[in-house]
Amino acid sequence: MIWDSLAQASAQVLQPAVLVTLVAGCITGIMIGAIPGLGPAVAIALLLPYTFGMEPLSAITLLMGIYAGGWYGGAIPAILINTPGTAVNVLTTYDGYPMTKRGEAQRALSLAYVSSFVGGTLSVLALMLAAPILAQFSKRFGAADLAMAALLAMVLVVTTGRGAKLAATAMLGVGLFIGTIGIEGAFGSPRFIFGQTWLMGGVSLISVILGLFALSQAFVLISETDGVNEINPKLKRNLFSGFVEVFKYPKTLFNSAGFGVVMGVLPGVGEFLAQFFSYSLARKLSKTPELFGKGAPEGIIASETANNAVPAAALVPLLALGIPGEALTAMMLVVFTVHNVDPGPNLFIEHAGFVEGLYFSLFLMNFVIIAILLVATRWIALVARIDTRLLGVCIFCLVMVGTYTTNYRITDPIVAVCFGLFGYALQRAKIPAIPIILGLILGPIVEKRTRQALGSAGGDLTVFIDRPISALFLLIIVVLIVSSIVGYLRSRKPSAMWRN
Amino acid sequence: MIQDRRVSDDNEPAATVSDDAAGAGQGRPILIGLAIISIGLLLSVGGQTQTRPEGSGWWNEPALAPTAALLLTFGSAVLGTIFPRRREWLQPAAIRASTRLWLRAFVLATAFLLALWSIAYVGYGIATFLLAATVSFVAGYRGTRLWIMSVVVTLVMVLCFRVILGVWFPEAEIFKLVPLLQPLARYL
Repeated sequence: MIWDSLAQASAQVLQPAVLVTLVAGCITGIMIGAIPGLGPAVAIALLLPYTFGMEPLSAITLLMGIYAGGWYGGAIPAILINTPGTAVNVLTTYDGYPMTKRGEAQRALSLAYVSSFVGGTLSVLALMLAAPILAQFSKRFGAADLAMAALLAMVLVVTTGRGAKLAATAMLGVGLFIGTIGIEGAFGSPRFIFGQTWLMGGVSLISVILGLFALSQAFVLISETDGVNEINPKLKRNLFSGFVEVFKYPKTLFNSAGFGVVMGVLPGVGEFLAQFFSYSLARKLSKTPELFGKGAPEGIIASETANNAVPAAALVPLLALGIPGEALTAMMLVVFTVHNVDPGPNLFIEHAGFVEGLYFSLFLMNFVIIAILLVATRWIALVARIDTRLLGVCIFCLVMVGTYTTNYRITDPIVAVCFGLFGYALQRAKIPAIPIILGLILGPIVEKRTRQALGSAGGDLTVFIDRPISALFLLIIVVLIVSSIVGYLRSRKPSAMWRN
Repeated sequence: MIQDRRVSDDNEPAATVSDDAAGAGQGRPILIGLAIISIGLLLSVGGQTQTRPEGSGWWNEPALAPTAALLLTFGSAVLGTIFPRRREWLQPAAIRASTRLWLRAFVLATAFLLALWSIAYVGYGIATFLLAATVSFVAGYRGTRLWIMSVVVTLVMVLCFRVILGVWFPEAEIFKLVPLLQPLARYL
């Protein structure tokens, strides 16, 4: 039985079209990750419109390749030039760069690659085990439960995110409001279209994504950088030393993978908390905690394993419940929607082949990425020298095609520009843009499910407390909000100020 | 920004985006702006939504979701303005630095929209070249590098989208006016 599934999955993935997108996604992801200032979100946003013409498996494989490859590649500049390629590689610089200064760059890179590989493959295994179980369990979910699950995802994004929580909440509100623009589902009545027929179908999600993630980054790359990163990697050929060394620290390795998987599954939590917790725990459990920050191998292992254990695990709530936990999986939900593939319990029955193919491609992806890195790190490291202003120019040209050719309406690029400027303002003020996307995507789900739940209960609000799953989610939501408020109030007390 | 992302040699985090002079204190104006906009939108809820048909439940009211979203935006924006993470406003030097950056951003946005508008008249290829040249100029490229970069970016884009992927664009006016250019219409 299992061999049949494996054979079917491999037959799907080993088709030329899927294989090509897999390799292309991995290479693009690694390159994007290796260029400081970019990140997988920019690449995924740019490529999103072009994936609509692909088969669903190819499209998701391409985007997941970029997602996973980005975190692998981000370790290269973090270790070689003390500049994290992506935001989630910050902790890798703490121990990676000191090792480079000691002349151990290839050892640090090797440790990062193998740790990432272990995190990535364990994450796929967790997805394979957890998604069907959660999907099976979610068959018991009613409309009230799904509404609360989506609401919980939104609350988690705001309360566990970095930075100003009130500003993040305001952004969530912005996303929720934008999601209501257009013809609403119940009676087909228009909402906030201001007489504009082009708004009847709602604000173009692609334009919002391209504006917030790609154009805003292009403004930053062109306006605020001098473009050039100094990098002079002196790497020898041997990048295999870490293959054995990583397994000398099994506690750190598997604890970090565990953190990554759990944080990946939880909506809104993601890489930042995963790497922070695993790094802190690794230092606590280490026999040589004094070496952390000075080139401790365990530091690199903790950071990279946790980061790379997140991407596949982040697909668990998306596949099982249809609820994305963060911006990158939210973008992938768009691909599912375009191809009429409904994530949720039925996905595992109606599109079993697709799910098996996805598992196999995610598994294979880790092997492809590590093979590319082992062979080509020296050349990939040079990518970090690319003038980032050139990338800014390219992003502008790509966004022009991406926004205009989706609907051939001039209004879509205008929307993208408006959100690009708004995203730029948010970047400068350090306010996260991710809640906007999640509000935009999850808002209609919450509205639809809430209407269904209240409709079946005759408008009785206790429907959300009567059902145990919904009540549990509601309780968690209340606890999260209350603890955030209490935490904020405590941080403002004079005693806390003295402590700081 | 690249320099801002760099971590210093002793592993103390270097300046971050909002720590620089231009970036500091920009959160509050955004939140104030959002509060004002959401109030305006809240006042127009009645005019921009229709009431539910008689006999259907209150939960089906079309105005319910946008009102809730706007109240959330307004409430959190106001609270975020009253209780900011850092009590600071933009300093005059920071305002000057910020104005320069925003001017650049608006020039880029205008160039982007003009290039889009010009597709109908000069075609995709020429519009892309104009956009690439303007953006490269704003990015600080001058002389030969500016032209080489613009031409290379244009060629790559045209090759990818028009030649390989065959992305369709409406035929531009220039190809109708100048018949000599007609053979190029398929690619440009």
